[in-house]
Parts: sequence; structure tokens; C-alpha cells
Amino acid sequence: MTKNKNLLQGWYRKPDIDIGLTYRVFYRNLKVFLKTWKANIMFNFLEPLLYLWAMGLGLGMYVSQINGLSYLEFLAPGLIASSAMFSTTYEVTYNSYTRMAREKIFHGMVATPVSMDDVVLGEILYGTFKGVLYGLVFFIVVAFFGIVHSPFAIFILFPLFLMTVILSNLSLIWTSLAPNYDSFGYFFTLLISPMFLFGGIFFPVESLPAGIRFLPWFTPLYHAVEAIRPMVLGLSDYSVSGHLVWLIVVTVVTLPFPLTMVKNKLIQ
Amino acid sequence: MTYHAGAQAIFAQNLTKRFGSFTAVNNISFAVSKGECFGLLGPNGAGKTSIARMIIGFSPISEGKLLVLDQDIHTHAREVKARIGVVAQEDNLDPELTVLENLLVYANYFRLPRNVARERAEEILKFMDLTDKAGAVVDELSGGLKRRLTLGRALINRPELLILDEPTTGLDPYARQTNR
Repeated sequence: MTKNKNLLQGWYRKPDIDIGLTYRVFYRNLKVFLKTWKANIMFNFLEPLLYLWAMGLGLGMYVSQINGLSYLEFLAPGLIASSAMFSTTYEVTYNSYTRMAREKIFHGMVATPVSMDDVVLGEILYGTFKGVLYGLVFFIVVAFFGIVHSPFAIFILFPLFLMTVILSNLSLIWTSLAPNYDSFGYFFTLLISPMFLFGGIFFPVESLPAGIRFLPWFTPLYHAVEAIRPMVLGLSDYSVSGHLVWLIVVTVVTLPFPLTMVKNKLIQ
Repeated sequence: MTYHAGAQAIFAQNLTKRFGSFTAVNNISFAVSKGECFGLLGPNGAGKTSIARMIIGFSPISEGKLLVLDQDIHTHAREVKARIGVVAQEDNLDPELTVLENLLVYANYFRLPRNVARERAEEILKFMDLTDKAGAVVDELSGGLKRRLTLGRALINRPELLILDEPTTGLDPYARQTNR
């Protein structure tokens, strides 16, 4: 444990960022993505599509209404957020870990004028890009189902962006602690799956037992879902601003940790 | 050991590296003049790689003084790294890119203009006998060819100082000869 405690050393320092070089790190990942994007996009959006069919149309037959919405209307906007979440978290755990620990690409990069902070921020940006992209692809699917009711729906970019930055940060924190690939199983079983199941996508969090009803409030997915749903459906909901503030604050608060922890892990 | 500004590529004085209670490098001093070929020999675990990692800024020094191209790598990391080339002990090529892309993407980290990068990349491929493999994905290369590419990649910024950590691992005698 002392080893991991050292990873936090100096988390308050001012990061050494060069935007131009950070972009070049991002660009390297983008270049690889563009080689395989077709297969990539298919897989990542097939799963939420299956959920939309199975739950929205299948289960939805038996659910009359939730808060005045049909089950499909209630469900679909949330799946935009979860599609983005899975894309980001897979990228910034398994794939970032591969680049960092197995392929040693980070090492190669920092032997050039690129700093470790540039590398980590480039990874965060790429995780964010991928999440937002997959969220938007699924948004188009949702639009085909006729569920997008307002042109303001395009503002979902804000919560999607913020949520995926936070998830990139959390994933990289875990990646910096991970001793091997197996440990990512814990990340997905203990954090991502519960968020997916209980974060307000499939049913309102108000129906959770009273003792644990407060828990989703601590997760980025819940706030993103609550912000995205009214935007997509064209409902006016004043609580949206509160959710956006939560996302902004947590984005800023979590950002220093992946920068410091990955750096401390690799530069010893 | 005295420091001569401008004449030395590396200047190390009482250099020490500790990992917790373990001392990997114990109070060593040496200087490498510019243009000099300097070989660091020692048994396994002697601390050679630790020294190399300190020189390239990959490992903060615990004690002593270390100047690389007359600058402290920890306060001037970007400037120093722009002027050195590094071949690490373990290959860290980008296995998801082709041979040529590896060189071009790497040149991009040095902010080389596109046309300069392309020119130098072609030159390096020729020098390393890799021109036929330019379009091959790195993962498909044999160990020795990967090593040649790693060596070539370290030359992309025309470094004033080249740090080689076991550079000939996996190279055939022919390649060793041509790379001297």
C-alpha cells in the first residue's frame, strides 16, 4: 500500500503541459483508431442497440409509463450516456494499460520533448473523444427511433464531454494502480456495472431503497443521464444546471490525480 | 572531475540513485566529451540502465550533480530531450503503426516539419536497410529488424548525444558492423 501512497506524491504540483505536443499524443491514437474505426464502432454500438431492443421494446411492453414517459423514451437517452461510458472506460483501462505497460509507448514518447503530463492528458483527451463519438453515434440511432424531440438535444455534447473526461480520469487512476489486466475486472464489476444498472438508466433512482438512494448522486453517469434525458426529450427541467455543475466540479477536482499517478508510476 | 562548459556532453558528479533503501548507483563521477564514444560496462545489476535513465530524465537523481548538454535535465527536460536520441533496452516501437509511420509519428513529437520528417525518414530507412519494409506493421517485423528501426528512430532529430542501452541486442553481426 505504501507503494500506491507514493503515487499521490505532489498531486498539487502545476502540470507541465504543452498543448501542441498533447495534441500530437492524441493524434497518434486517432491515427490508430482511423485504421480500425469501422469494426470498432460496430461493436461498441451494437450492445446498447441490443439493450434498446430487448429492454425498450421487449420489457417496455409490460411497463406502462415512467414519470409520464413511455419506457422507450425513458430508457433511450440514458443509453446514449452508457454507450459513451463503456467506450471511454474500455479505452482508458485495457487500451491505455496496453500502451503504457505492454507496448511501452509512453516510454518512447517521453524520450522526446513530450512530457509525461502531455502523454497522460493526450490519453484523457482521446478517451473523451471516443466516448463523445460513440455517444453521438448512439444518439443518431435514438433519433431513428423517433425519440429526439428537440433541436436543443445537440447540447447533450456538454454532459457527454464532462462525463467522459471524469471517466477517463477515473479509469487512468485505476490503470496507474493496476498490477495486471485481471485487475480491470474489479473496476468494471465494482464501479462501471453498478453505475450502469443503478444510475437511473433503467429505472428512476427514486425507486432504490431509502438507505442507498443517495449513492447514484456520487456517480458521473447518473448526473449525465439526468442532464441528457430532458435535453433529448425537449423537456424543461431546472435540475439540469445542477447536474452540469456537479459534472464540471468533479471534472476539475479529479484531473490532477491521473496526471500525477501515472507520472509517479513510470518516472522513478 | 571538473566541469567544462560547452565541451562536455555529459557531466556527472557524485551521482547517486536510491530506490527506497536500495542504492542502485553509488556516488559515481564521470564526464563524456562532445564527439566522444563512451562505453559503460559492468555486470548485470551494476546500475548501467539506472544511469542511462537518469541521463534521459526518466528517473530523478537522488544525490549529486548531472548535466546533459550543459543543462539540468530536470529543469530543462524539453530542451535537452529535443537534442538527444534514446535507444532503450526494451523495444518501445509503436506496434500498431507501420515502419514508416513509426518514424513520422516520432518526428512529429520533435515538431519536425512534415517535409523534413519525410526526408529524414526515407534516409533512415535506407541507412537501416528497411526501405522494403516501410509499409509493414511493426508487429510483423522480426526482433532484429525491430531493433534496427529503434536505432533509426533515435536518429530522426539528428541528436547531438545518443544514449544506447544495450543497442546491439538481437542484431545480426552484419547489422552490428554497419551501425558502428
